[in-house]
Amino acid sequence: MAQDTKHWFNQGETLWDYRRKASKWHFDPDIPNEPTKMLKLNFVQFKGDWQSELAQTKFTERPPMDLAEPLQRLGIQEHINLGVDTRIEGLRSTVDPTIHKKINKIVEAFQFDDPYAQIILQKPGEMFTLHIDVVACDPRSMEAANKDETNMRVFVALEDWCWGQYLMMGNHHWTNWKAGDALWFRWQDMPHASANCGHKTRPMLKITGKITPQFKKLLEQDNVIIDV
Amino acid sequence: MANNIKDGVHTDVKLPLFDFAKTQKLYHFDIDKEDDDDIIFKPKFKCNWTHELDNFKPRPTDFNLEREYTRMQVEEWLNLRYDVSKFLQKMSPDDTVPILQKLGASIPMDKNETPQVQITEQKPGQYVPYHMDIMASTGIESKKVVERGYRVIVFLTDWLPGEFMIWGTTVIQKWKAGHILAWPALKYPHSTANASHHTGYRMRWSGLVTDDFHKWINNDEIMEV
Repeated sequence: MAQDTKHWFNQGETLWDYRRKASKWHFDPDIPNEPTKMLKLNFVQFKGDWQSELAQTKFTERPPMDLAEPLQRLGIQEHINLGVDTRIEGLRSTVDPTIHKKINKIVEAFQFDDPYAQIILQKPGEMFTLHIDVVACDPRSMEAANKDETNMRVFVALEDWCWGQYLMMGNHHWTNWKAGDALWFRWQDMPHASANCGHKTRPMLKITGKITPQFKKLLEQDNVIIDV
Repeated sequence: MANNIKDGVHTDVKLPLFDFAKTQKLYHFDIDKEDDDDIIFKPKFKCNWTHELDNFKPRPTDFNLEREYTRMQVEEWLNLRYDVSKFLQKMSPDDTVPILQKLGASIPMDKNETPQVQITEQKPGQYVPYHMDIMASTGIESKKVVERGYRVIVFLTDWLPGEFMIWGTTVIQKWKAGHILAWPALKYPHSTANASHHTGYRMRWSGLVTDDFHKWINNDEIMEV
């Protein structure tokens, strides 16, 4: 097996090195597909037209960058080590139920407890370098973050895929998605990256929330169509 | 949204070279359709050139805006608000990289039009926007490029997650050093990005091809350099 033994940062205290130690992913770039216990596509798909809601959205928020907060600091250290400006991640907008009525129905459909949803707008030239998530809504220790099994995370595409747009989860290259397609992944384990080298902006809904029995049941299904 | 799209066509961004390339009607532009078998991606070379990559010396970005098609391409990228300082960097093989220099001479392109050979370095955070190749920097007449222009990439480093390439609707990934990627230059729209933790190196040929090239590229023999 072509085990990736060199995939560590050599200097600085990085989020990657901590999260990689805790990850159960194989880190073998030659394995072709990801199992559904790590990644599941389109267990649910949404139909509807939310273009007017996107048109009204003001993208003004940046990813959190409070260097006094340890988990955030470690993430910024990764960018510094890579020589990549953190602003390359672009801007986002928290879902506002008064503006995003349909998009908020998507958020509610997952039936998470205490969901938090953002629309991430990736413009041409923006990217997220390969990373493993940490749910850092409130300051806490790395040990607690590494043991977090209560939070879940899903992505929902808000527009059809266009050429030049990239999203990779582990070794799975997600392409040709349609608006309303959904992707669940074990954020605890799966390294992922995305980039937009195309001609068009890429809005993607990211939802994080506490796991519930209803979500577990939904995740066991395939291609459930929900109209919003 | 920031870009207006109607029926898949931009209504507010001027894309001079892309629009020109589309008029050549070499590609289907259907995201649900598979590509033809003229995108060639396979192992082709064997050698260890890793130590020579330390000698990579990037030259400054050298878009020559006196060339019409270069001007069209750069205008397109600037209209899309791309940052040209984040594009991959290039060097011509010289005597500081003798193995790569030898590799550079090993692909049989039409010698009547001097092929262009470049080593490229793509660091994390760098990209090449979605585009089609008219190979303007080679100085080869565009009519000839449309008819017989080819590009060949030899991967000099192994693929790692976060290195992205799509040619047409074909995802290119999991390459090993020594793999090649070849395609009719103007036919396939493509882009690349490096969101990995590693620098990717490649070698790129641009030129015209003859029957000899097609025989060479279709031969599955691995060449030792």
